[in-house]
Amino acid sequence: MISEKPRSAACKAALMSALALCLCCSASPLMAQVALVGGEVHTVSGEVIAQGVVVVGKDGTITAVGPAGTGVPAGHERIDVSGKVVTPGLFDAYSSVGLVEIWAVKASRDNSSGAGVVSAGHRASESFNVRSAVLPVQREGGVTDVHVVPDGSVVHGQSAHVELHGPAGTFAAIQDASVALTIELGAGAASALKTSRGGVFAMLRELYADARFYLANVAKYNERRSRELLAKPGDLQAIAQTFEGKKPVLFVANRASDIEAALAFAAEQKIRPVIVGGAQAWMVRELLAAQKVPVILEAMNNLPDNFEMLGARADNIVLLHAAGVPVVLSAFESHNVRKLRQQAGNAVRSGLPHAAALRAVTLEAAMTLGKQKTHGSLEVGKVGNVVVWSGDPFEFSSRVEVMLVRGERVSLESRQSVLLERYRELERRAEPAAQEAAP
Amino acid sequence: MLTRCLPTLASALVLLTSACTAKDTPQESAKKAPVEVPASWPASRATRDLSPTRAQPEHILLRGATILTATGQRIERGDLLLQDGEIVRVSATPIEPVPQGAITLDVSGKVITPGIIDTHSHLGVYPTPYVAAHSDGNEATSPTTPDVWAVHSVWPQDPGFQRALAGGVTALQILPGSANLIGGRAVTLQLHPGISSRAMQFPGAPVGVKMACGENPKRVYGSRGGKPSTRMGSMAVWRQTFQKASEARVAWDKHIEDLKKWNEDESAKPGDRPKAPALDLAQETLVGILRGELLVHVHCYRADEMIQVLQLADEFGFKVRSFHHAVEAYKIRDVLAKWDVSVSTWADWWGFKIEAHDAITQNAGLLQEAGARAIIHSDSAIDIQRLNQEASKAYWAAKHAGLKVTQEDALRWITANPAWALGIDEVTGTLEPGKRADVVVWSADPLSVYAQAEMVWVRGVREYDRSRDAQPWSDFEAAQLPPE
Repeated sequence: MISEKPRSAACKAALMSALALCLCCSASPLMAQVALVGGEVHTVSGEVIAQGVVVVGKDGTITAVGPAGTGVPAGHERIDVSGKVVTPGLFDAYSSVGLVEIWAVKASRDNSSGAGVVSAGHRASESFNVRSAVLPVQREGGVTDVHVVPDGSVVHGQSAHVELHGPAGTFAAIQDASVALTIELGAGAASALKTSRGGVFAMLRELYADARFYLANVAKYNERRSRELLAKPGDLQAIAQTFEGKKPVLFVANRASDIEAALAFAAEQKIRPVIVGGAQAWMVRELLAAQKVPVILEAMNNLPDNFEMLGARADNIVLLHAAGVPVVLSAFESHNVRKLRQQAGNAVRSGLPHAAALRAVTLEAAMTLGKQKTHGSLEVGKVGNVVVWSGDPFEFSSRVEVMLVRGERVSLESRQSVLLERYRELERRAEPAAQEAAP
Repeated sequence: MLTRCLPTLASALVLLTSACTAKDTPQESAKKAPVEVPASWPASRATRDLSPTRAQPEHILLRGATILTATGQRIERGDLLLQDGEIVRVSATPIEPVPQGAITLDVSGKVITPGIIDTHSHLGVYPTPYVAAHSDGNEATSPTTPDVWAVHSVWPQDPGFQRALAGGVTALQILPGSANLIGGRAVTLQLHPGISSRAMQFPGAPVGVKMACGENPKRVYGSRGGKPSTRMGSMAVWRQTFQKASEARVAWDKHIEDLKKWNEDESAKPGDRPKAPALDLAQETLVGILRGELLVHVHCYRADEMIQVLQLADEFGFKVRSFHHAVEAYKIRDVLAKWDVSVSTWADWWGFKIEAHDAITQNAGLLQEAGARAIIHSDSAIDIQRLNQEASKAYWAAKHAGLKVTQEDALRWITANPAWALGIDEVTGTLEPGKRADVVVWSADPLSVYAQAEMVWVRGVREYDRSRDAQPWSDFEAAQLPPE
């Protein structure tokens, strides 16, 4: 099907640029020294700089962000990005990318942390496939950072923060193997426990009590002089990491009453809650705002998929933001995390200010997951995860032109772009048969 | 296409009437009364609409908008006149004087397009809320169920209908699911609210049929230890089914010939009147396919399987109107262009099954470039609300890859081309005088992510207006939540 003859000029050009990019990527990250000059810089943490400069130094962190004239030290690759838009790499706060190659192929699926009720000891980072062909596809959407969360239990395994770096193995993709604990609430959890909503909280209360008991009685437990505990030591240790808000607990909840119950439980246990889903969050926005509880949500679903989502509305995020709730957007995707920017665009379409939408896919995600010291904005000292867009990042007419991960210019090639080139020309041995009119 | 179905419909009525009255004819024993001979197998049956929709088409002049006609024309600051549910004039110059009785609406700065049409929706048959009691999309009790009609499953109270309308959709095809090789008859609806699915039917639209190849049917029936459990099993069931339908068609054609002879034969006795073959709902659908009266829509992902389905169609002499999903269509775009088979696909769905592994966002663009008919469909209650965005993604992916596509092409992927696939292109899908007033006023270029449908007319009725606080159509949504 594919001719052995030299392909079209465009194809050759693509090949050449792919080669060039590969050469660039094969360098060690320690060599990264890049200056993006002349673009409209959206730092997210501060003002938009009309014609700014972003410099990423040797160690892959940002060494300078400033207006035109900001000095570029010698030895840096200078990339002219005038007329372009520069933003932090997008950060998707809830994804299963890298855990699933093909959903319907069971052996390629590692999204579930187990059929068990409590799987807190499980780590998604150990299922994550850094060589997955699904990862490069996401870069076309400007995504550099993903929070990878397992599912399948009531207390899911620990989630991971992953960077979508260049060629596999260049440097560690996994930044943090234990970002947060995720707890499923609502009808799904009740059904998994063969109980009702109240039964889910009864179990969680017992679990947290057991984690405290275990911490105080490790020696006795090891000597088999302990009362019976609801979970294994690995699970209880992971749960203990959420005490006193050390790590956030993500409550997957859509119904307003589930959100209220989750916040009450969090206060009782002194844990730091984040709401995921939140279809009815707009109904309890004052409560969420008062406690500064972030909500990770999407901006398109406006249908009552189930009875927990009655009143689901596309402007949920707009109402939450206006009330002062920290809002974080996710595509909730495995294969199309690249659609995160479409989520942001639709949030703006519903009335969210553009800057708030950009924040919801960068800094607010980092802050919610405890990564704000290193990620989420263009500030000196933060990692050089930077995207150069041809225009407004949320418009379909814009594309990613340059992506830096830790200052490394990463390839935008993926299995999909390769397939496009394989079929750009159809050179067959004969013309296809003509269809005769049916009698 | 529309007119083609009418004779069939008429003859079906005649046939049914004559079949009922023949027995009671008093002269039966004396002299034979000639009967009317049906033109063909009764592929369609007429039923009365018992719950008609009251619609008030507006006589309205939309003034000063950018008009994208989906015929390739772009009119800056144009005027559009709607009356009696039809487009009366599309004008590049101001229509003066304002026709008597028409109201004028200043829509300068806005963009007007034809109503969006979706070839692939399960609204009503898999409505929200997704509860088992509402799951009516797959009659997964046999691998071939050509006798079932999606219109009988559609729940008109699905909240998704009104949401789709607010996204600019004016017509959509509701299909049975893809569990079965032949899933049953599809139905094309227009987005007027209706108390019955019948009242929502797009008048005069031909009937579609859903077929499915690949992983789904073999998984559903194979997992039960049944047939098909393999792709060759699927093909065998299809061929056997169409073989029988071909025989039924021959038997019926023979009956028509026999009836003619009996009519003409002076010496023939009333008792010799040829007996009609038994009417069978499944065979009616299948023979309708073979006769080209029903439009065939095939769920099929892989290029090689689409070729096999075309070979099946070739063997039994029918046509495929549209391949759905068809994520590998780009690999055989020359064949699809030559055979005039349209392709209904997504912009960027992939990876959920191995047959969806080779999807690329440039699928529609490559098809367009090759002269094939590309369509962006939804298959989703969410994506149907923003098919303009889906088309935009596919368009820009193609454009950025250097393919020769235009914004007018992209608009046709969600208007004129789906209208053709549903056989309603003579009456909708473009903005032309004489066509139905299926019209959308957008806040901005519909290829922008920020564009909102501000007003939507369905056959001249302003069913959606963003500036008005619309009550939900669906009773399900009435007072479901405490007031704010």
